[in-house]
Amino acid sequence: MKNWLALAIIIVFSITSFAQEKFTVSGYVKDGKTGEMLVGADVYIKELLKGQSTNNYGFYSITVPAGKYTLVAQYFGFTDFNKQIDLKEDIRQNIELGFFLDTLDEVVVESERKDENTNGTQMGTIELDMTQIKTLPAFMGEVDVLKSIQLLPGVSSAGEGNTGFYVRGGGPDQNLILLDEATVYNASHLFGFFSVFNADAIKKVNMIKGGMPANFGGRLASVLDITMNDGNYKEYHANGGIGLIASRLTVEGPIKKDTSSFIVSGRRTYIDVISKPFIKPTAAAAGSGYFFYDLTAKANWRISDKDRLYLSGYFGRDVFTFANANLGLNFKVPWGNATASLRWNHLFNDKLFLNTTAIFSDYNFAFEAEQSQFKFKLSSGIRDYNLKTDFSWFPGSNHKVKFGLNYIFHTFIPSSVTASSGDQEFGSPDVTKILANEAAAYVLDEFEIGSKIKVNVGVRVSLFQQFGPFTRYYKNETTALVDSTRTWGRGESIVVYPGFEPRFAARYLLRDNSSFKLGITHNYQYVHLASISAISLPTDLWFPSSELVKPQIGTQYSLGYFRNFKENTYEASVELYYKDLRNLIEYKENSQPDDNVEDNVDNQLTFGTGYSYGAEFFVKRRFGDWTGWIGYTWSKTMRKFDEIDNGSEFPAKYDRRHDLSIVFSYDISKRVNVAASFVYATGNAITLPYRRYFDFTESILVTEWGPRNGDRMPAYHRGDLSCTVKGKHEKKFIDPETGEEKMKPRKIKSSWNFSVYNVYNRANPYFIYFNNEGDLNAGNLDVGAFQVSLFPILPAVTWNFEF
Amino acid sequence: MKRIYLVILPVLVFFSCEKEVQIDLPDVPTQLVVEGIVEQDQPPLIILTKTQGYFDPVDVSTVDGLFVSGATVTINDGTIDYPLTEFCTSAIPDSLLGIVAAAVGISEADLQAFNYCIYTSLDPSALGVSGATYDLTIQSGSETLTSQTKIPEPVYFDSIWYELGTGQDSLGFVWVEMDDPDTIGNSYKWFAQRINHYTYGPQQGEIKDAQMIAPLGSIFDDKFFNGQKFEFAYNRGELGNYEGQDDEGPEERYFKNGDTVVVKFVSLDRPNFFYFRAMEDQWATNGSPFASPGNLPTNINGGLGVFSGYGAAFDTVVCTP
Repeated sequence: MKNWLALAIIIVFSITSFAQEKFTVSGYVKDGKTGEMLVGADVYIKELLKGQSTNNYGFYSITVPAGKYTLVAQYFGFTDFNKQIDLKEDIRQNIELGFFLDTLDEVVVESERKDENTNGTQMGTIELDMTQIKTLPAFMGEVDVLKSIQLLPGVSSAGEGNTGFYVRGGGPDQNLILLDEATVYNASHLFGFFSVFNADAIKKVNMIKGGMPANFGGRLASVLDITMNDGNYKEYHANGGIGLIASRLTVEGPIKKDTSSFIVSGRRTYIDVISKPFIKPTAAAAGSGYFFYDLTAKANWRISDKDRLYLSGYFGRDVFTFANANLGLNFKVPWGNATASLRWNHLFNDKLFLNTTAIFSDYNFAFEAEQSQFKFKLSSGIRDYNLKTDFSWFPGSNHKVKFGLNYIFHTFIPSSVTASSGDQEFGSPDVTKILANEAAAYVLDEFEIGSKIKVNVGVRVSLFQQFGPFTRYYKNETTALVDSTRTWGRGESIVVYPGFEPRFAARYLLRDNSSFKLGITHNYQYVHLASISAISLPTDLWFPSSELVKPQIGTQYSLGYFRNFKENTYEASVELYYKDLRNLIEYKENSQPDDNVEDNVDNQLTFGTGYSYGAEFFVKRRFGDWTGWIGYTWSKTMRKFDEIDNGSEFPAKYDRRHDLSIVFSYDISKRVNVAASFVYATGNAITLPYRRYFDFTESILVTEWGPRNGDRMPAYHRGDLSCTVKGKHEKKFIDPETGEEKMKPRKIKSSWNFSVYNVYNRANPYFIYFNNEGDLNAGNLDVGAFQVSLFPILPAVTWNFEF
Repeated sequence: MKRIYLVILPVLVFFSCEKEVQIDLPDVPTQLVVEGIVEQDQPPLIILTKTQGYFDPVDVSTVDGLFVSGATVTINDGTIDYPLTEFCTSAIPDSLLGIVAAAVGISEADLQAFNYCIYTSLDPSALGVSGATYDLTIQSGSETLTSQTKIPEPVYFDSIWYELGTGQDSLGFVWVEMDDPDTIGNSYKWFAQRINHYTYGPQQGEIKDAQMIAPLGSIFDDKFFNGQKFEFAYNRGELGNYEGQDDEGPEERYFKNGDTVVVKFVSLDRPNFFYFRAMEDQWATNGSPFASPGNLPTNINGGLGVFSGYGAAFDTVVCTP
């Protein structure tokens, strides 16, 4: 593998060496007002139309032959930067962009502007702009990043109120969710109603659903790369909001002006406090409470021109308590994530950028219940220690090479159960841990061939190893009793899985505003989520590959046609994809996941294959008084498991034939914006009961189910509205010198957001359950299907402030 | 894990609304269902019925129409074939129904109400023997069903007693102590029946439990306590959806001072353990979205249902605090 890497570097180097004298212009692109590094800003040489977009740290580097040029930098929402440069030696040019929405200047739309939609090779990548997200109708008044990405084609929601999402027919565990490079295992609060990401702390959201480049891996379906704000380098600011369900506050500012800064964001709900007075003490829900809080913090230092240090952390917790005196039952379910990442950026020279990160990521949940003499505690979690290093090398000649290493030490606690009845204790007091190493090395090169073709080709080589201490229980197929056990000692290797993951993406420019893009990727996934229910719950278990569980493998082919209209005001695309999936995981039928004492979690699993294919259509208007988009996806996702339905094909839980999203945002005036969204999706797959029979000894009605996921619930559709009214940002005052009336900016800026969720009050099915009541022998047995819907029309008001 | 789901549900209910919906099922062919029990010292009992569409309406005539008559049913204990004869309760004089009820485990009142048809043998040599393995063959129309089960050796309690519940002065639970045999994989099912009569209330004079009742969670194996002495208690269970006068309110789940409780502690073979555990799980998640729709692991070849060998151990306790 080392030789391979060396060979690749030599080849690329030799391409660059024969050229004429070339020099490099490089630097960081920042928001002029706050000092925040801008991620994904376009920087290019106007005359040559050659350039880069800034990386996750705001850095760019362009190498071209010597000469006089115009250097342009652009970023959505900011005024373009233009500067004449005379490139006769390497230049360091840091750029500060002005946020144009603050001034009254008109937006100048450059017709030769580079546009990522048609020009980037990053096919299947969507960059979400935080300004736009904040105007979308928000669920219960809370702006949510994950809800917003579900409005895009190819990305479907896991269901009403769920933040878990499916990308191109992939499961919720197949999405790599990164917050400043730290993996977030459970990105949802309470049943997925809210995500863990506080929009005030976020700078940029990048979603990759196809053509995943080699620097990402470990998940089959997508990468959701979320970058936090650095914190204002120049001034202290606070902003926040007070809403119906939760309130939030963000404080940021410089630690040392223009050198280091910090940002701290917090949020808490108070559903428990608000609902208490409304619940009668005798009601079933009395004594229940739920609250969540999250805290995001980041600090960074520019140590020198070449070195920067970033420290980010996230800590969040949900606590759900329930007490019912009638049932003699009370329980508590706490869960949450904690992540921390320490990153060091180092510029070796104008062409070689390094980022090394040390990451800690932890997710755990516990369930503690008590009913009369019976006590039960279950806990589960995953903890990662991760070290990665990524190099970006800009050798010039239109190449951008990235290479790096990634190592993760995983500790899984799939489930640890203790129970007691009276004085009798069950379960093992020792917590079963599963340990694993996951590592990867990659190299990729993004380069241009001529003026029409851009290619991103790379290879990722990954490795997974489970090691001891560990005890494997080999179970007899028929009796389900343990036949034999095998124990591995500390550090002993149990199983090793290597993965070879080639990645390829290419773009072919047809005219200035249209292109074809192609992507072929092969991915391995070593960490899995077992979910028994249709709803994403915090009780879903993460577990690693093992002797029984092979890594999931996915191959995706995607092809797209991209076109912009009216000087890039409109973006449109059609993307087709096909995915082949192997080693997929489901629970065995009739598995009892709480039997995990003296057993291994993966003994309950069964394996199979699947495929998914679809077409995504997207049209978006980016600028103007009104903006918005329409996204439509047609897709089919099927699975085939020997042990389920006798090996016949069945639709995956995430199979969604049609998915439509329409989003519209209109600035009525400088201060008032209205937005609306409409979503439509084919109903979720459901397994219906087909037959029934009676057990007379116990007077029980027994259900015989039909084909797995063989039927559909009614379609889901919903409309939301929102209106944002900004307070006056300026106020009058009398100039003491001239006596004139003038305007000056207000210290505290505020806005009101009114939103209505589900405007036409449709009772969308959350789940359908089957119930039987009454007694057969009394002749009053009643069998019925009941549909539960969660949210009727929900208005919400939030007051947001900033100072 | 399922318990978690059961209790998270009430919170969702706080936010949600519910309505009944009509579901159109495709036409599904019926299947034969066997409920068979062989028990030591008891005559074999086979109930043969048909499935119905899940949403088919239910009324009094539905029950009668379920039973499949005219089948040829045979039990073989390894050497001899015992053919079973069909008896329908409408043909049995009421005076004998009590005996049939005790043998069959279905209440006398129910047997009187409907025309139950069962297959059994009056041959005294056909009584169950503990430790024996039985083969079942059923021929009905053009279909043949087969199955096999074993009557495990019964496991008796070391002791049985009654204890008041926490903070209670007249209500409590029946506790037992047992010694689990050293072999791993012993599977048990608990039934309890109050054989005393109501002295109060709308059912005054009636026997409290007309048949043996298995509470939720009645089926378990010795995974956690193989070979150990082990104490446990069960709630008073309810029979399906049937609500007696004390199945709601403060007496729910409790036994009462003065009750005479007969506990039938049954040892079962492994396939039966899987079937009943899945059946109880399905029953417990009745009405929950978290139920994973798995079909019960039947031990009937060519049909549905279960053929059980009961190694029954009986014990009685009078509830004195």
